[in-house]
Amino acid sequence: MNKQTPRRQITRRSFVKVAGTGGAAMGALAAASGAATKAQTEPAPARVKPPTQAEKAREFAAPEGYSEEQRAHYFIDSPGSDYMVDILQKLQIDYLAINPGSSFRGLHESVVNYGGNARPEILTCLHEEQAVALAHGYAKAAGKPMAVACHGTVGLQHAAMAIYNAWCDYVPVIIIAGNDIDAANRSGSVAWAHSAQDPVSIVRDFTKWDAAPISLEDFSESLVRGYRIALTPPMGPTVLVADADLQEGSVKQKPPIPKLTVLQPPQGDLNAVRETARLLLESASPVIVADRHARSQAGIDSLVQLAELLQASVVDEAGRMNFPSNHYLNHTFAPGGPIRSADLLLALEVNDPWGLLNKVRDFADHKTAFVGAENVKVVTIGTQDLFYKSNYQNFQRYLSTELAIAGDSEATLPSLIEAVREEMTSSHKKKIATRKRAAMDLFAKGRDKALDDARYGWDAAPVSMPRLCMELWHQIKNKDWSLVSRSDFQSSWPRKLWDFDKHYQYLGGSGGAGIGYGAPAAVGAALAFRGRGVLPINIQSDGDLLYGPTALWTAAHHNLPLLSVMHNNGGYHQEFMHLQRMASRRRRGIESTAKIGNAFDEPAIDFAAMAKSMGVWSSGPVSRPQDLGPAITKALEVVSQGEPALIDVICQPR
Amino acid sequence: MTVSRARHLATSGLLVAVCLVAAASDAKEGDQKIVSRPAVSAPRDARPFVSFGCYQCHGYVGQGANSGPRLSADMPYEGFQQIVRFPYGGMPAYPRELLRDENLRAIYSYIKSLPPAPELKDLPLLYDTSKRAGSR
Repeated sequence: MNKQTPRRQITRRSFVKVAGTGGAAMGALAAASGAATKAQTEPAPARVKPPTQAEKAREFAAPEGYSEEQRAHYFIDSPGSDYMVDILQKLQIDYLAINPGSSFRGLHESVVNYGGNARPEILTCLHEEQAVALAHGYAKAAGKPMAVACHGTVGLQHAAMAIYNAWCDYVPVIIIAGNDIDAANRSGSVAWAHSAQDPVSIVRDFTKWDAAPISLEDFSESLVRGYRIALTPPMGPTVLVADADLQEGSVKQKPPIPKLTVLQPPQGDLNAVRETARLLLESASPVIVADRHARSQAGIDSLVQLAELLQASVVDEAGRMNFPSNHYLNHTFAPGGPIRSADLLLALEVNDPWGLLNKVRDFADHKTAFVGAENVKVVTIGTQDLFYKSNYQNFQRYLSTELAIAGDSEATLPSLIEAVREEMTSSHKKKIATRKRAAMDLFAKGRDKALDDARYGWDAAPVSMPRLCMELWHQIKNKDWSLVSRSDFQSSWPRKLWDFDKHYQYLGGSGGAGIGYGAPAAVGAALAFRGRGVLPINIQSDGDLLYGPTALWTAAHHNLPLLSVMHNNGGYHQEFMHLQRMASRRRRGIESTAKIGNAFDEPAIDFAAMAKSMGVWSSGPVSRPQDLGPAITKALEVVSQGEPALIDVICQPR
Repeated sequence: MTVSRARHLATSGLLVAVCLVAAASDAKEGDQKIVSRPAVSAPRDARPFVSFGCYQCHGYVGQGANSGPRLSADMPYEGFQQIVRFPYGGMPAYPRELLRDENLRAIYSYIKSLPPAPELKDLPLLYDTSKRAGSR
């Protein structure tokens, strides 16, 4: 971890002293190269006394030997970006992820020299996309946002996909974009290429809010407001332009920084909540579907309460960790799925409620099939409806519902539980009590099926996903762990067989399915967990890592304990299957052509060597399942010392 | 420095290796690049199962995934043929012009040749989980 750098005042005397030291070092080199004769015959310089405190103060305020005009030419006192750091500190932003850029050089320098590189601490990223994805993963693990700084033009362009992911995933990220709006002050052609009249325009369609203040007072209010908006459900990224002149100009009187008041998440309308309670109690087979419901452990606990009160099946869509995986009411993986037979669906922050009941078949005729029960009623609770933008279509298809309650589901559930309790009659209790046995049987069926399925391919090479996941589980189950990667590409095996019951144990996925999120988000989560004793486990898709392998370097550089186990299947496997489907549909070229443009296995990529090149301990490739256990043991030893580790494993496709 | 490795897959201890990928068959000790995907070993030729893309959704040993169900060795050929030519669910269709009968039979033979999965009681990593099920 970078240590706090004490603030240093650069005085002329200390500059001369440093230069003298450098000169002496260069003198030593000159002697070594045979030019010693001149140095040896010249007399040694008189020893220079260090300056007194009064001299230092005078020199800092008015550097000796400089005229007023020269002072104004060379130096700036109290730059605006120092004040920007004051605001970041007041907002308690712990980290600033950057890939460095001249358009925010003022802010960068203030963070490291004025702020002492502490709160915020700079996180060095080697691509802006990774900086934002790192902030995305961090926010979900830490429960608070961090900031990212980048060029307003080329930086935002690089960062765009990661910003889109955070937008789709409803995660707050505070982005500060450098820009140089005054054309008369741009020095050099690069400053022109890195400036725009409206730099945020390229990402405005997938950010909540943005501002381009031209005064420090406005900057202060805008940063505080942008932080608040980012944290107001539905949460999302916000962007603030930090103009170069604001950063680098001098501020005579720092404006006061407004106090941050975070909005309380909105609760659903109480009448609608009461009506929902009645519908739930009247239904014969209610099912609760949770997606981005739980913002904290309280969200899980209240959902458990509600589900047990009603003996209702719960399906976890896993946008977050919503419900314990080993709870008998968790029917996410039950055969047949309870949604198809539900007469009432309660959807909590579900991104795609239409998709719960309808499927558009991926065939030439695009037939749509309704897969729910006739007359099923749907109630939605969520904040998505409170904020929409129209260009990007992540909002999914419209579903007609019985009730649509605009409110944060975690904040609303306590009143729903209270309403259910108040409305519940003895007749309801009797009916509900009969569901428990069936619910336990359904859970057992799902678990039995998973265990049965996991046996197949157990000893195969490439390594099967159940084998990989259970070898990992065996060694982490007694530790405090978090799965910081989404498990869909591993056929959800961790969610089927591991024991999840804490909110931080599963963080969900990218939101926008923008590949390249995984590695940096895992690094961000590892940052949040560092010092908390939580072991981050990242099952890393190979294609995802290839978009930004330098995330591994960031993990090594910042000493972030993180275990990454590669899901190395040699290609962009989703696209293999897409191409296969296209070839089938067009009745041509199906044999062996699916690899073209999709595979990266000829030559195969040595991920262990790649990780090692970035300073990450690594092993592999492991191709035999019996070698996995020992490899994991060694890697965990490394991670327990506070360092990242990576195991390359040659795996089955899914 | 990367070195090529000859890779052998064993399914339940089977020994025979069949190279699937052309590059794999070209691998030599001391080559600078890593040879690509490992070869699949099975009593019957797995090449059509891989080259026609069955493995993509069903896995190299037909074990299944969220992209495609486990392949059963119990189905008669006529039923198997029907499902491949006129699939249900999300599977794309494979008419004769794409997948000739002889290749389909080879794929069927490969699936039939796959060994049974080990018993749950013989897999401690899974058996331990079965005892925890529904504990909340």
